[in-house]
Amino acid sequence: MDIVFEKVEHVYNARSPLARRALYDVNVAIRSGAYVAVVGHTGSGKSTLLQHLNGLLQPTSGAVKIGEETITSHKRPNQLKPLRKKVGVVFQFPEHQLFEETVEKDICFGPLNFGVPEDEAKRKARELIKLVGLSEDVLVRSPFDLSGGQMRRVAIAGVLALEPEVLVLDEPTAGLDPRGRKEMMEMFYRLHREKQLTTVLVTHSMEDAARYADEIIVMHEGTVWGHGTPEEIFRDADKLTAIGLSVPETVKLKQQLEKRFGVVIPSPCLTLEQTAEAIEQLFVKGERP
Amino acid sequence: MAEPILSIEGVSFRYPNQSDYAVQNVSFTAERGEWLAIVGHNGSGKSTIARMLIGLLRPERGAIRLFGRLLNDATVWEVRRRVGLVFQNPDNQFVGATVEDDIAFALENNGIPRLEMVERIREAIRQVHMEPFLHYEPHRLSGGQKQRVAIAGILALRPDMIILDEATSMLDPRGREEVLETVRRLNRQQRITVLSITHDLEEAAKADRLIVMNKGEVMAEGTPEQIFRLGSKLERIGLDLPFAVKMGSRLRERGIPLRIGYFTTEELVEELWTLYSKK
Repeated sequence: MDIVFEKVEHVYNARSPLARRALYDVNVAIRSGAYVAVVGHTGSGKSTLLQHLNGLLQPTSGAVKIGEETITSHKRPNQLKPLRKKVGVVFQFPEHQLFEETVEKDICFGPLNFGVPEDEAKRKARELIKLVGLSEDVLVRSPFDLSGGQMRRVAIAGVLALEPEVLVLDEPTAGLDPRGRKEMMEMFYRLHREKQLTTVLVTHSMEDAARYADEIIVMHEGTVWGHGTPEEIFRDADKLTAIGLSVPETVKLKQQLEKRFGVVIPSPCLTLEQTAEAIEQLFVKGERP
Repeated sequence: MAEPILSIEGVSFRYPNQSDYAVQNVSFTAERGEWLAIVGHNGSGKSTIARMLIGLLRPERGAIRLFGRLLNDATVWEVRRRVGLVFQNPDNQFVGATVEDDIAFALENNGIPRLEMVERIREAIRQVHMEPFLHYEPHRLSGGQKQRVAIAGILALRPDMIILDEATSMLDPRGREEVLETVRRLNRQQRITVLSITHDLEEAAKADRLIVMNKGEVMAEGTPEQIFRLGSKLERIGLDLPFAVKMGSRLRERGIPLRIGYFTTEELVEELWTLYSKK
């Protein structure tokens, strides 16, 4: 589903002395099937932006178009139900949202609420539990007996059970150890491709943004500061650093090598492999300075 | 050698109704003023150790000594006064309505006279560079600021040791840097012993010494340099390697004869430059 933000503004506590403008003049388009990373530091407006994607927040002015649906300040909240099914949101620490007696009941909760027959919901739960990398015998257990990482996978299965077309991920790997982080990011990437999802990843990890995203949206002080491919966004590292954001370690290395060696490295150096290759080239072809 | 500030001897622990040990036969020591990092994957037993150190959990076997005294029911209160624990979630450790009240809470509990309390709060808030926020409500602070207030609450009690239990894992990069910078300063200037429990190897690289936990047991112990030489062994137990180490091994695979034993990007650049200019 295509997503378009048009002149979106969001003011918290509007028309009160506590009014605070969190977003302004946001114009951005995410095409169907894209994997988009949203970066920006705490307070940049990225969480507010994210909550507009399934109508948890409505713009104070402007419009958010998601597929056929348009969300404006006038839309009544009960008109947003179809949208909530199409846009699945995995919040930070989604394991805190588990509440049912068994894993199976927890995964089935969403589909049953949307009127899916019980047999069908259970069949889906069996399919999804494997998709998120757990075994079927977990279904009968209490979610609270699982490890943190397993609980998070169950919560993600619950979001996927609604068969969303857009998957929104808010810092989905926070608190996981390095292996858990990598496994989870690979899982989302696989889902993105297999289910042809439109994926929006909110992250602090520039490495993940560089590795997985087709496009990066940089938020700064409540509006879109930059939008482009990872190559475009990380080309001008100094500008990002100036607004308090970092660049991937590989790009830092590239910058330092260029300075020390007095050369220009043509590769964008977005991944370890790409960077290793670029450095090898430097050694193979490079003439003595 | 001076007597260690902390020593753990043959400690084992199991949670109720579990047959597997969460911590098994673990021994190590920490010197006064040292920054010791305990690293390991989720579930490796590192947080269980932190909880035993302040007497929240009691070992099934083995002994824990802090400040030369055995940890038991009689000494646990003194230990809690001298050891501050910063938890993972910044939202789970506030009781006061303002930053000032929050720092005052522990002082009040310890019966510190009012005038001295005022002085200690002022000193603690200065040490974490949060003076402008003294009258803020904690929920209006960023994650990094919250953790610094939690540290100020500990500092006001003039601790000998600070334990960071994944204290930066929920923070953004800027918040993480703020907290680590604060802790580093306290460690260097006041010689407060730091025990940081983490799976972030960039954080662990800042420690004087590392203890690597795997499945409840100590797998390795050494300086960051010694530990990072374990290379793929660390990756196999669910940990990561510092960027420069990973990059270096990929370059060696491609036939660039880098030596081993550098951890920062700067060191890697110098190493490459040396090779390049010799060509």
